[in-house]
Amino acid sequence: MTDENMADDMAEIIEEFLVESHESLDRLDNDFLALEEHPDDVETLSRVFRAIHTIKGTASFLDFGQLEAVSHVGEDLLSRLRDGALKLDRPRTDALLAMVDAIRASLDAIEERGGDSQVDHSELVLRLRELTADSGGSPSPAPAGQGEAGTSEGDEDPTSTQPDQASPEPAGGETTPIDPTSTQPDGDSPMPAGGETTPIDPTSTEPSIGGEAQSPVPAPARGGSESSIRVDVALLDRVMALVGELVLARNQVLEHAKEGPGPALLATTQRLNLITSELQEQVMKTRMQQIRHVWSRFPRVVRDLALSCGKEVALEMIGAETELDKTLLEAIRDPLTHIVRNSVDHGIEDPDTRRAAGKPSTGHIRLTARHEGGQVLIEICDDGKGLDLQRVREKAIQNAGLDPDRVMAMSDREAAALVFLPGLSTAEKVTNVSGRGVGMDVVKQGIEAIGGTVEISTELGAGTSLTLRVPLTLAIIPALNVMCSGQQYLIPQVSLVELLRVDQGSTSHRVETAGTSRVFRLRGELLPIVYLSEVLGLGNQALDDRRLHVHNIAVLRAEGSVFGLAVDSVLSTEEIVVKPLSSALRHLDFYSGTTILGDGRVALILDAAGLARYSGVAGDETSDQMNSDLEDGPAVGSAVLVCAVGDRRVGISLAQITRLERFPAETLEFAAGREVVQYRGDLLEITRLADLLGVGTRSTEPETLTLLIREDSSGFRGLAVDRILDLTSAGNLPPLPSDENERGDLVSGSISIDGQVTDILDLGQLTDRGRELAGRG
Amino acid sequence: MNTRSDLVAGYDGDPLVATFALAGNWFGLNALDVQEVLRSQPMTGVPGAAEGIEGLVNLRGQVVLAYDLRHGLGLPRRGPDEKVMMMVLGSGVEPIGLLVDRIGDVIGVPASSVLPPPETLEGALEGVVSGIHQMGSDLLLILDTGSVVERVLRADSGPGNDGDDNRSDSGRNR
Repeated sequence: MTDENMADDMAEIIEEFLVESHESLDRLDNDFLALEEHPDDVETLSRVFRAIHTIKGTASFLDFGQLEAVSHVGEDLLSRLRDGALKLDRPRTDALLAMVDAIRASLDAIEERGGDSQVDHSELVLRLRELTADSGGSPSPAPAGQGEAGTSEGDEDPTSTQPDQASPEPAGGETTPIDPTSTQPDGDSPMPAGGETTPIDPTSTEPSIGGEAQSPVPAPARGGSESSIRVDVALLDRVMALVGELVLARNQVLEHAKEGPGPALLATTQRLNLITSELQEQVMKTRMQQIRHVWSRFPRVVRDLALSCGKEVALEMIGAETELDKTLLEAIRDPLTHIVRNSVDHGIEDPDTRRAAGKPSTGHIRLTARHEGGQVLIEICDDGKGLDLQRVREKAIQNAGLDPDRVMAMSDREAAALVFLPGLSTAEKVTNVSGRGVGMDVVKQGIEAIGGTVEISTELGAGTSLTLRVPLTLAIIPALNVMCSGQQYLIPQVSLVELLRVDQGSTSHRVETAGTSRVFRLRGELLPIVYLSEVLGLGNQALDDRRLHVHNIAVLRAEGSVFGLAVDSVLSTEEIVVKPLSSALRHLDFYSGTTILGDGRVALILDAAGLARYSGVAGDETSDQMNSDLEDGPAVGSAVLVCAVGDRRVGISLAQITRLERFPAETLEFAAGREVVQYRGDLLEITRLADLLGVGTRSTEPETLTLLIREDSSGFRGLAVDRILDLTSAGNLPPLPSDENERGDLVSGSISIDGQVTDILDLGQLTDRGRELAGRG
Repeated sequence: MNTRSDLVAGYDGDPLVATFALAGNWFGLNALDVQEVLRSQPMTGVPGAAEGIEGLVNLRGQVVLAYDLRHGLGLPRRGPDEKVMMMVLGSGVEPIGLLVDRIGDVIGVPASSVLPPPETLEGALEGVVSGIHQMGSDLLLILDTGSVVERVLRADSGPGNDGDDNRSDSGRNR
């Protein structure tokens, strides 16, 4: 065996050791916390003992001295605890948790440098040995956290600082030596496990008091141990099976392709299509991990932090089994951690204050996760003191330099969102933990970077709640392809509410200009309209050129606001692979990524939220109203009535129809040149859809007149169709490109229902035209 | 064109510099940073992007930013008929395509023959030139890859530009 091979094998062994140990440690954190509640649980103690024993063994074999030393002495302590010779009290729990941290630090060092000789656990080893020696060991002060440079407790000798931890940082970071004489405020928190380290550089010129002026260093990447994933074997089997079928289908396609196009080739390509879709779905699933993966650290984080703040906090986690894509999981880890720490540090009050306020002395934080509409919804709620919106407003004016009038005019919801501005911190006392005032904006950025959103709601005295919405998967999404100024753009389907075709020639249903805004009255409410060409700085041909009277508008929903995006034309819906945007372009809010189209060209993906913000239609009060109205009203995807009109199939949203009635043909009468029937004590005007659509002559006179009754501002109107074919749900089917010239402006799109092309009519338009026609006739 | 690995494997000579021409001047970059060189590809423009960013290109399934190095170095704009080649830098976080006029040879440049850049270097050339080398009768300006990449990614394109984006003014409440 060559040296190279041996080195490779070694590297592999170490790699495996790291992965398994990290997993072990995650469990250990929670085991220790459980033991705190039930110190006599022998089973858990045994399990913990075995875990440490294993780590010790491998550390010894691989010659990781420091790791071996600390796990050895930890094992001794655990052995005596397990045997009942010693009691698990608070100091011992703290020491053991510190041991877990030390082991982590060693593992990180090994990962980065192949050895842990540079980390020094001798302090901790001594401490553990003391605690093992007798049951009356002097209680040590609040656990010294690993990895935070210069942390010193109130009573401790300032020279007994923490060992220089090799916390790996992302490229460009360096570990900084600890200056034992640097001053730190009292009551520092111990560093919670793993990736929260923020070394303070004592050589920086900024004052390091409380680390106030420091910008947080992003959590160290865990490298190798994070780049692998556990996959359910059954899932892999399914994937393998599908791949097998894919190969067969491919062979068949190759065979039939030789014969040229025909039913056989068509059938096999259909099959290929099906298999590909299913394979895609299954492979996506392999990347899914449960959110408990990220949440598992929190009990420890909360415990340690609460202790050091002198508070009592209970953490509840619901929906830990909710799954999300691994990459997204990693991306929300830090933001979530920050939010939870914020809650403990600034949200929950200390027990006395709580009792005085009539609250239970233990504060409560609840994490919930669930799937909702293609996204994962994560909520972090606390019953703490809530945000003082008045102070938030003041800080926003002072620190962020916002216009005082605007800030004061903001609704509570908008004011609460001000905490996401950089530089805002209403913390009374800035601690090392989360009072630097640089946190929440980074949180928001982090969530938005993966295409998610974060909202905050708060009630003074009662608590604060944050809601994160994160897409389920990142990689492949359905999107609508649109044209604007000669270039294609993609709009993610998840943001799309419906599509409109607006005829600027119409007197009542057109895009109107109100001051500097453009709006469109949709079903009685005002919809803000944004022209994509303007956002992109390409002018606005649509409004400038009178001949282009049909405007295609995609109604989008983002961050609670709804608006219409006007584009040149709507092409098709496709599933696209999302590729990240170059860092040179990330500041352009309205793009969320790129993709490669079928023809090999690159196309940009639009970001609805970014567009809304950029155009100033986000968070509008009008939009809020609009939003709730649209949510109640029909969208593409509600029930559609399919009717036959001449030789056409038309679909009408059920919400646009009041009643369906059938009249015997003989009840049809004429009055003032119009066809009418008597209905509900009044005369009901009839409009023949066949006429409006220009569909040849009326088809054979039926004995019954089938009418769709619609009530609008001018009263009841009856629309005659030949036959009602079906009532169906159109789902979120993409409209096919519709030919403008042929059908005119009454058709708002075409949909394939049950495999047949069906024109969707907008009855709002028809009523206008109907009146025009009827007036002439 | 030799692949990088051919050049690198067992190579023990002078540092290799990939040369290229822009507006009649010769420039060079560390050959190890250059992933590949190709003809100009169909590009998708990015409305709203800073000047200098020509667009996005599909490079075997990867979306690569194409940046006009003439702009970055403060050189006059390319005429419509002038040839364009793309040099892809592959050593960083994301690949970057630099648009240049002409690709030259990869030459070995002994460290001893590289002179420090003159202090009188003006404008856009300041900060990106790491050294000067006499290449035959021409002067070769060796650029520092890191500085060039930074200039691209920050859309900081030279003199008179503090990194502001040419965003349309039609946006409100920005």
